Amino acid sequence: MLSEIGKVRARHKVPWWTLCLVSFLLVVPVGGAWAETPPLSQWLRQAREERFHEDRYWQVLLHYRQDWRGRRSPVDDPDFFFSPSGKEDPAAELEATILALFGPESETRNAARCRFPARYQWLAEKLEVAADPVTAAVCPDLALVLDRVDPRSATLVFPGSYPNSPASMFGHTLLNFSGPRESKLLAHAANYSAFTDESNGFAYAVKGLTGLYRGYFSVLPYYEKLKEYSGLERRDIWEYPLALTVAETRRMFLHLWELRDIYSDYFFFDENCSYNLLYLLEAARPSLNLTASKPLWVLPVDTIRRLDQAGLIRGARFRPSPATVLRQEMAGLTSGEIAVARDLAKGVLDVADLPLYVTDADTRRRILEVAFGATEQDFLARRLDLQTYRTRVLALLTARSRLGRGGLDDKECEPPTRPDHGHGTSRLSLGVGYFAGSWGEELRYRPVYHDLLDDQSGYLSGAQIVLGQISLRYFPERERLRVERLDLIDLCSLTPVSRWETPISWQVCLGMQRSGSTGAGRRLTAYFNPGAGFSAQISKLSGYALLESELSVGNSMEKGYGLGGGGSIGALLEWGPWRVHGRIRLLDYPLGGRGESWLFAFDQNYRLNRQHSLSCETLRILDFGRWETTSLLLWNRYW
Amino acid sequence: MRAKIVPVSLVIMVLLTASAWAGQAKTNCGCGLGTILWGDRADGSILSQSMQVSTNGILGNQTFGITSGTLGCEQPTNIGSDDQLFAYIRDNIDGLAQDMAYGEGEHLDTLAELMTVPAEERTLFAGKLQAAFGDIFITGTEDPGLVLERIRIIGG
Repeated sequence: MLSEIGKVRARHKVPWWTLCLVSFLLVVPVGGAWAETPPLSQWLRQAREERFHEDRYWQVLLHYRQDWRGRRSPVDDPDFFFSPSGKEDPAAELEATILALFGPESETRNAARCRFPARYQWLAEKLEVAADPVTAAVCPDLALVLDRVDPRSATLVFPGSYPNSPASMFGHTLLNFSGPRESKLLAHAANYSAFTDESNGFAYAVKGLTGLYRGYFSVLPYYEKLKEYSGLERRDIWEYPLALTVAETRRMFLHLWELRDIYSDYFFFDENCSYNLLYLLEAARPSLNLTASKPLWVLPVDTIRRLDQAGLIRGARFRPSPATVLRQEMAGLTSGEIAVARDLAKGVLDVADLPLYVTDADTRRRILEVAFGATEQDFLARRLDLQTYRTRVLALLTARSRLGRGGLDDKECEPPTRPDHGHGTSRLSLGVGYFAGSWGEELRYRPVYHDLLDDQSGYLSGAQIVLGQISLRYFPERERLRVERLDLIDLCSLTPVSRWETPISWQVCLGMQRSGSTGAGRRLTAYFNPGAGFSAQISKLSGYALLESELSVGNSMEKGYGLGGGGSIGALLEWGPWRVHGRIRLLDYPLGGRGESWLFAFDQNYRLNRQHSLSCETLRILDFGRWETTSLLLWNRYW
Repeated sequence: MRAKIVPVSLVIMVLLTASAWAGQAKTNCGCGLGTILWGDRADGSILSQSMQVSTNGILGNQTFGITSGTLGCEQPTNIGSDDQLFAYIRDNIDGLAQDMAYGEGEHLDTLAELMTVPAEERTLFAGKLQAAFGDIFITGTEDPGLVLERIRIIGG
């Protein structure tokens, strides 16, 4: 009876009572299922107790690096981290990552696993989540990319310098992922670069130097990058196959995937293309420590050297640009034959008439190939419109196709010195000299990169890029140490004119230099000295003539400044390890009252080996109405 | 004499600088020879080139382009399993044309590999394409689908 009353009462209470019960029952089975596998809280505890966040691989995957503020990641994109404090806090980021990868909500869990497969793979192994292997995640995007790229081996690609651009000597680095296919063209190239549509060169440079651009990784078929670097920019390319296993290569690619659409502020000098590729290599093999000691600047060629020291470089292959191939093909023709090829390329001579001029089939083959190469270069340099290019190229190639295959040997060329086997990019010089009447010692430091007298092996010939070079002089008689000059920027590009092209040779110099009449004291004078002209080369001798202008600012001049112009001529000679540079310059400053200035310079450099050279500089100048002579003997150390 | 050198050299400097800064927009679109050589790059003036090198900048916003695309030369929808081959021909048409005419080359080797031509038959394959070059490229504006079709017929 009582129970019946209870039942009746219970029935009356249904509305709120059952609601609680039902909702409770709904929750319990879920909790029961959790209990079968180790619960989330246990994993979190395990990660904390075993200090997973101090694991090397975790530090590598998140790019954590020790600096004076503690461990931080240079990645700036918040999407790269699960925790809001992830950039500075490896432990908090690890916990947030475990929550995201192994949390209760299956959709977010799957998304997190597909977004960060390397993190997931590592944590699943560490936490021994056996019932939950990598395949538990369904990632169609990643699967498609893995299917297409099929990363099995990796190659470091170094597009070197291109003609008439000293800045290009810095080079660039890409990382190629190759699948099972033989062809190197079918690799995929990972490239870290600043993303921008900026067309103003100046804004470009400023923003690039100050980190105002965002850097992203991109992946494109290698043949696309070749069109850009080899075709368009006429850069010769070096390919360095890396000594990585298939598993390492795959890990590296998964980490690259994690960096997809993730930005970091781009800095030209340090956080640049080369430095960011080092993170990928660390992800491949965490025992490598490539990013820990970050210098003030990271040069692509230095990263190659660093990888070589770490035993990662298996060899080097040279891939000449079409422009280089054309130059070599032209070297095999007589000047008469080159003239015929030029007429073909310029459309002056009809292809059908070629047999009238040249009867030998092999010579005809070579002429047609040179004409094709030149037409292509003309088109790339925008000297031809698309329609003309098409018509001309089609006629040349059709004629060429009728002549069968040529000898293989004429395509082979002697590869130049590997860029990483050239002299070191930093230089320290010590010397003694006679400076306008007194003896003294000189100390000179050049952080980067290469000047006209340094050994050319591995560098662009006729190009100079000197940044931040400082010269100190000590005069024992007067017990005085002073800054003699500071070359902030000293760029020079001497590209010889050829039958095909008349490139402009140019220079830009910006810096400070001690000058002035001896009576008034020699003071530091700032100068800006651009120039342009032409140069020509015959074998190992090249000569140039430049028109120059100069703005100088300093107290040594009457009005505090001098603005003028003039010109210079010079010659460079290479004789084995010995290089000589002679130069005469006349500048006149009608504005500011500095007067006329003459300069005669004769410099020599003798290469001892990759690390050492000796140089001798002799200078005679007329400035502020006085003639002065300086002569200096220097020992140079490169590293 | 001296009075003339200075203004002349200054004017030349200004002109040179101006020409170095001038840029040109990209113009490529459509199929055929010459359309793909320029990629997405702007121009080739001295200064912008060296600046682009210094910052290693690239134009556009493609981050994971497993294959690239050329404006106005899209892939037909019914291409099926040939999509990689099609994309390769589309994106390398100039290099392929050159190699076919020369009878050898990396672009041609790659084509043979993608078409699974056995290694021992590749010389023959290259010879056939060289001999029939004039039948494959007639106008230079052929779209990649047509080029592929002709290669299939000739290369066997």
